[in-house]
Amino acid sequence: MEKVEAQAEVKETQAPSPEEQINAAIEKLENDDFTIHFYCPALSQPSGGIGVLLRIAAAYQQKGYKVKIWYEPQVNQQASVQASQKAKKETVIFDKFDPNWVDFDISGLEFYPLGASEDARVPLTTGEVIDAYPLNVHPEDFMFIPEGFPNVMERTVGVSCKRIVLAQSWLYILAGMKNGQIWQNFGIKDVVSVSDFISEYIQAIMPGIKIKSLKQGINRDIFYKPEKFSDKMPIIGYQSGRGPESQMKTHTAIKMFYAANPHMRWWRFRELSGMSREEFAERLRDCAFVLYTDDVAGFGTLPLEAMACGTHVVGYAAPGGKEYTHGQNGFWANNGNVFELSELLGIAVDKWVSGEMDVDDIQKDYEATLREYTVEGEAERTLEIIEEYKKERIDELKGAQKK
Amino acid sequence: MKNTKKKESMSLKEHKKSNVLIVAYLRELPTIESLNEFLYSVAMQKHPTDLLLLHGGLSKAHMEVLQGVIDKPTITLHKPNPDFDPENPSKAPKVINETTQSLFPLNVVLQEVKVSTFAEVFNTGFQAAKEHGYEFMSICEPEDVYSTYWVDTALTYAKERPEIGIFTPIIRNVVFGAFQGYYNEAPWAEGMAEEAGKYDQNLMLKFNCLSPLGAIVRMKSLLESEDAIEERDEKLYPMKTNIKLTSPYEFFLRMAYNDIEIMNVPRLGYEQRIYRREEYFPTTSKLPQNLVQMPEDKGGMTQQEAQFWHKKATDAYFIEDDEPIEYIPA
Repeated sequence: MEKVEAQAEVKETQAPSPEEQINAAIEKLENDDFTIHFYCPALSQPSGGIGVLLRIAAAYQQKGYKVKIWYEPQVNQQASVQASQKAKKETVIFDKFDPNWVDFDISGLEFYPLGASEDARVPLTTGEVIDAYPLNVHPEDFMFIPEGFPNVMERTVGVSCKRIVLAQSWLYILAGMKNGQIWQNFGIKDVVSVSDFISEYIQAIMPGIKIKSLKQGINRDIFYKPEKFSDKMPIIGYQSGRGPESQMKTHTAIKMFYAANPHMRWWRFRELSGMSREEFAERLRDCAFVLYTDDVAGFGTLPLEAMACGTHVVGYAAPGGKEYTHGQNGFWANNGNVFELSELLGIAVDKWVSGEMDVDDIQKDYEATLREYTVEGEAERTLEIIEEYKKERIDELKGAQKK
Repeated sequence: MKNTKKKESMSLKEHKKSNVLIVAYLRELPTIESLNEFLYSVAMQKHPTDLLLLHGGLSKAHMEVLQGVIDKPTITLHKPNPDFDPENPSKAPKVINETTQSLFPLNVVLQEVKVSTFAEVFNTGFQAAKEHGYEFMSICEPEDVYSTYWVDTALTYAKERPEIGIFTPIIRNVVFGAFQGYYNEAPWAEGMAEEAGKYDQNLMLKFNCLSPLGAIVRMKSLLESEDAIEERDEKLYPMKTNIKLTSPYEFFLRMAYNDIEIMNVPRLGYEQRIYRREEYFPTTSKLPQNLVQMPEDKGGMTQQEAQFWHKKATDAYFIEDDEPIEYIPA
């Protein structure tokens, strides 16, 4: 009897066969018993891209799916130097990743710092020490990786789950890749794209990859028109740009506006960055205009958020936003043309001061544009996407089983 | 108001159709084109208004001309001619003139008055607005023009901001037909006002930064502020007649001092047209740039006297009394 029990134990610890693993994965997929993993860059400042990634994750978590957010803790150099001096040995301290600036509830999301081993520990600037974990996925799982992280795609080549690229920018797609390299080289065949332009771009540079489209929603609970007509002020909001050159171009556009329109020096410019989404929306709402200078945006939500706030847009018709920019919903300059942008700003401000913009039809055009980008639509599509991937994965596994 | 004719004042009562009274004083008849443009801009207001046209006694001939314009305010638009051929410029003119007549009739009452200062014009209009129960009044000069939506926009602001007593427009300054810049815009500029858009005491004491022209005055705000306005013989004198040149400036300082809030509506509401004149008549609020070059008998004054009146405005706004002030040259 003892011998039989011992044999049974041995049998239980035996690794399941590939067929059994596939069967188990299919069963789990059919029972929605899988985990959706997200690799998330651990940026401490607000980022639209991370916001979208977390919103998708939160939508899945709220729908009952198991969701894990993986991130690589970022070293805080200053804190590390101070700690090393104090301890008289090399000590590494990390920033706490706490994206509390998002405009939706992420309290249910589980964040996992990536560590090399089971016993890895991460000391934080806050004084806490948290556990880190090695990436742990299963064949029935899915993993979303942002488009700008080919290194993560490469490092996860051997994992058993289905990996999907979440593409929110066209600019970063090839930036970190070697010449001639494509995502298919990392075993990735699926992409979720947030704009028509990104989809077209990926089709052009990586033909054959399967793309699902996800239209982003503008949160009308925080992005809405001011209560009073008189709340709008002669202020132009702007975000200075992604890098020093972009910032310089934005500031040059502003200076050119003042130089060409000395009678408009009473107009103020307000930088809209480094604040929570609520505060951002509140400040955007006061502005008569927003100056949109992102010429490399993958999609560009700022113009849509501005429209929702009744704030007129003067900006670049960047390729990422070409699906929603048209003559009636903004003053659009050719992408990157700072001279045209500045000139248009002068024209737009003149029109506003003259009262030509105080007509309901303009807001109707904005609303018509915004109808394509609702939170409800985004949530619905987000769920559709995982359902589609689930079915595709089941078919894929069944196909593998037959082979 | 002692100079207004009772009979004509009664006719304002009979003709009252709006809650807004626009007041202008015709010292003399401006050019027909100017008069047409002014009356067209009043008649075409999106929010209908009544116009009280004060005059100093126009001749019968001038009255007929005025009546003709009142009946059909018409403006002429100068448009590029699509048939103009630069290769053959004599074939068709480069610019064509298109006349447009006001779509709406002008609700105007003419009233002869004897006034010698802008403050008296303002006070006459204010008293008329008060007596006839107008909610808002606005003063202008008949060579200028309103934007046709100005009153409507200002009333939207007035509805949304009941705490504000006076709404000023952005004024477009045109000197000899050339655009010179905007006026009244100071409270929006960075670091100027304590609250963006509102003229406060500190801002106004820095410099004279607002004009009464085109401003929409909420009657209730001024009437309920007992200490802000002098009352004599049951009549109100909001603007002091004892201060030369700067009585509107003193008026605004006094209003702000008495907590009557003044706000700029950041919309172009008024075009102030300035022409070079050889004589200055104090019934206008527009100060001529050549004032100190003008002889005294033509209304001119010395630099010292002009400075005296400017200083007087900033010294006298604490009190509402309109006691005589005399300038004694040093």
